[in-house]
Amino acid sequence: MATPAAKAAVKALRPIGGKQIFLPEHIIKMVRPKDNQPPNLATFSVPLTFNKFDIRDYLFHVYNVEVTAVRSFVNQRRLQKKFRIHAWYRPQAGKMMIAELVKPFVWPQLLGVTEREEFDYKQFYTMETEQDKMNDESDLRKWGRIKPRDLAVTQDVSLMRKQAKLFMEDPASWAFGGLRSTEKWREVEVDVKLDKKR
Amino acid sequence: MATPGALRPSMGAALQICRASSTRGIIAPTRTVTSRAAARPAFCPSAQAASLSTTPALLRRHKYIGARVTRDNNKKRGESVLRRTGTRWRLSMSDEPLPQPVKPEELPPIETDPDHGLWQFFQNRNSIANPPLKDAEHGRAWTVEELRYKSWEDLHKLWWVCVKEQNRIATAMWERQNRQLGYGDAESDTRRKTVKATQKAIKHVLTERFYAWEDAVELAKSDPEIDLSGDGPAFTPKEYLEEEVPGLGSGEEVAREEVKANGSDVATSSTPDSSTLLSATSSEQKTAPTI
Repeated sequence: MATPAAKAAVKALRPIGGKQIFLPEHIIKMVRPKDNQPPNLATFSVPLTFNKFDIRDYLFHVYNVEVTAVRSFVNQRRLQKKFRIHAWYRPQAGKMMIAELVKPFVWPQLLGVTEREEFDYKQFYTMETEQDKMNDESDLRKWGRIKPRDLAVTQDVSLMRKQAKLFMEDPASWAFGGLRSTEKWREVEVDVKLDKKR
Repeated sequence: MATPGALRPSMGAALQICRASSTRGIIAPTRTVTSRAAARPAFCPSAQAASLSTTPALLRRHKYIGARVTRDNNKKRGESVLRRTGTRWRLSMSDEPLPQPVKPEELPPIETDPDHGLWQFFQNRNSIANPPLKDAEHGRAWTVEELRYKSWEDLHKLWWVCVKEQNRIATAMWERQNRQLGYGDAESDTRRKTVKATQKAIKHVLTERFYAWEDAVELAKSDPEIDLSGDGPAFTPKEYLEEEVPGLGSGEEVAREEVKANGSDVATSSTPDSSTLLSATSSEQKTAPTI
């Protein structure tokens, strides 16, 4: 644990700032890492005013976590329209920082869909999908835009889907031009034996 | 090492002959390990038949064991990356076996320290965000009235408890929304607002204390017992009992008035020490806030 002696030892080992802040109002979120991100990297969403030294000292003093290096980047937000006013504006950017930890930290696995009963996931999912569908329909009514996924499925597309499914089930059954099947394919040309004596 | 200097050229010559007879053409001269092994006289049957000369005739530019006959002075002739010949010269790590790469899934799993500080960012080690029913299990915020009796140390500690709770709630909110865990945003937001109210109350109390301190300074300027110059003691109390002056009231009343005047400094002087406060906090917890 963080005894004063242990903290002093760490301070002697690596640089730690001495600026005192008594009543901070920053909110720092820890963010689930991307796939294949090594466990010695931890990602945080921080206020725009934060710098690398700030998060290093913050993590050390508040959470007793040692950090060797920090990378930071700012995510610009997408342009949005104001509700009903339809004026374009850009929401404030968000800053994220990736800290290299001394002690690795592996995130717990994401809860499966069946394990989210306590969050009432089933109802949540149904409502979300319904809402999306309604939004799409209203868009269609308003602007007449049809999304590509809602375009009518032609016969060609359905046939290609069927073939793709068959191919995924058994890749060996595939040949150029279609499915290799004895019933469908029969030899048309027959070898003719020529009399060599002539 | 103990070999006399005169013997060395002859030994080199003998080894040269061995190498020439045993590894000719088959083994590349760059493979110094094999050529060395083959060059040992014990494994070389033709060593006895070869003529042995003590003259330094066989000494050439390259004196090391396994050196080939050179036609030019190119030290690197025959070395190729494509054919993986390796270097002509024996390197310090030539005998070191190269490590074999391991697939990430075959590596042993990395165990996280159960006392790792970053666990404090999670409400729940299993699902990061608490389910809504559990999230709603919290008391009310601390009121200004309750916090007025707390010392600065206690308020400061409580503030940092609030900061950590805010971080926990924000992390859970991010996880719930970005990973589509399900419902629970409303409960989380209520919790956040409760914490925020506590923080607001703390600032309220501290502001009150600051105003009280300002007023006390103003009063002290006109108080003969208090010296604000910074030289000598700041407070020199007068004698408790003063001579009664007819028409001005008793000495006790005067003293009481003085206490009242100094009483604006109550915030720090009248607060009990932190140990009693902490015990009061723990007993209050059944009814009072958990945040």
